[in-house]
Amino acid sequence: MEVPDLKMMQKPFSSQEQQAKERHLISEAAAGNGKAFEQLYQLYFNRLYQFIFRINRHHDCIEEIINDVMYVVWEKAATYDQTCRPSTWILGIAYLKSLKSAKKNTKREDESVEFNDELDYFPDRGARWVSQVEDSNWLEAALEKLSAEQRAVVEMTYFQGLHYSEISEIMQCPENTVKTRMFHARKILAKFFLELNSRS
Amino acid sequence: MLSTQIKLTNQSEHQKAWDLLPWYINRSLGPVEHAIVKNHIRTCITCRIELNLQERLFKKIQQTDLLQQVSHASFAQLKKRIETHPEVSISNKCTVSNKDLIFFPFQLQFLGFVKYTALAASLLLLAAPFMLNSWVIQPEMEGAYRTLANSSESTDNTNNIVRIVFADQPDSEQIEVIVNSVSGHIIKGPSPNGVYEVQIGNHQTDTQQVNDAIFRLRDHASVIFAELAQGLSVSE
Ligand SMILES: [Zn+2]
Repeated sequence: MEVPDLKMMQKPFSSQEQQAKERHLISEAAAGNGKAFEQLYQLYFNRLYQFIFRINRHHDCIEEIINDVMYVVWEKAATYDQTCRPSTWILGIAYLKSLKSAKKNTKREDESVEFNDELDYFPDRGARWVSQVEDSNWLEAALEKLSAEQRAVVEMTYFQGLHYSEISEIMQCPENTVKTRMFHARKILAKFFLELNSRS
Repeated sequence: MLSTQIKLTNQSEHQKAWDLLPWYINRSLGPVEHAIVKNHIRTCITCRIELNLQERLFKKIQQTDLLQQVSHASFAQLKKRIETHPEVSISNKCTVSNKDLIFFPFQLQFLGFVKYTALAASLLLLAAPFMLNSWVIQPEMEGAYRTLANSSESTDNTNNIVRIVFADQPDSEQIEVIVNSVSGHIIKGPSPNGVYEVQIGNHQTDTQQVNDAIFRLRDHASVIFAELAQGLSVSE
C-alpha cells in the first residue's frame, strides 16, 4: 500500500514549536534537570538512530554512538549558545561521531575482508545467492555505493528535510561542497532507481 | 522582473536550479530560491526530467521502512562474512571455524539464526547474571561475608555450581526434571536473563561428576547453555 504523501508535506523536525521545546529542554538539562534531559533523549533517539545508521551502515554500535552523542549534549548543554537550531547542534555532534565510526568500520572491513563490491551486491554472479537485487534492497545497494559524506547529505536532505545551509553547518563544510556531494549521490541513486524500474 | 529572468535562462542559472532541486523537493528552500527553481523548470526540460526522477526517488526513499533497511544491511554484513569463508560449508559450519563463534563454548546445531541472535544477547549478560543484586547486597553483608565459616563454604560451593540457560522457557516441572536428572537442585534463578544456578550433588561431589553433569545437560535439547559458574563470575 502507498504511504500517503502527507509525510512529505510537513517538516516534522523543524517546526518553531519543536525548536522552542528543544531549546527549553537543553537549558533545563544545562541546569542539571535529568528528567528534561531524558525527554530530549527520547525525542532524539529515533531520529539519531536513523541518522547514524544511514551514515555508518552498521547496526551494531548505534546505541553506543547515540549515548556518546547525548553524553556530549548533557555535558555541554550549558555551552549551547542558541544561535543554531538545537537539531543542528545535536546532529552535528552525531555526524562527527558516526563518521568516525563509519571510517573505523570501513578500515576494519578493508583490512580483514577481501570482497568484490559488485559481486557482493549483484550476487547472481556468485550463484549462491538470490539472483537479483530485490525491490526493497535497491536503496541499500545504492547507499552502499556512496561515501559516508554523500550518504550523510542524502540522509539530511531526503530523510531529515534540512536545507543545504543547515547541512553545511552540521558537516562544517562549504555549502558548495554539500551541493557537490548531493550531485554525485543523486546520480548514483538515480542509476540504481532506474535500473530497478526497468526491471519491473 | 520575473519574466526577464526567465528569458535570461543560461547555463549558470540552469546549474543553480539543477543543484537546488533536492531542496526544492524537500521544501526547505526560502522564497527566493524556491522562485528561482520554480521559474527555471518552466522552461528547462532537462531540469524537469531530473525533478521528476528525483521526486520519485524521494518518495520511494521516504517509503522505505527503516527496520527493513536495517535488516538488509545486517544481512549484507552476514553475507559478506559467510562469503569470505567459502571453505566453511553448510554441513561443517557448526564446527565453529569462524573466530567470532569460538566465544560460545557449546554446539550450535539446533539453533536457528533467530535463536542464535537472541541467545547472543543474553549470553553477553551471562558472565554476570546476578551482578546487580550482588552488587547491591554486598556492601551490607561484607562484614558477615568475611567470617571463616562463610568464606570456606562459599569457596566449596562454587566448584559444583553450574549456570544453565534453558531453551524456549520450559515450565518449572520440566526444569525440575532436567535438574534432578543430574542430581542437581536450583539454588538461584532465574535471573532476569533466564539464567539458573544449579548445585550438582552436595559439597562432596567431585569435578568429574560435575563435568559429567554439564555434558549431560548440554546434550539435553532444552538446555542451550551449561557452564561451571566458577569460571564465569567471582562475585558470588
Ligand atoms: Zn535546467
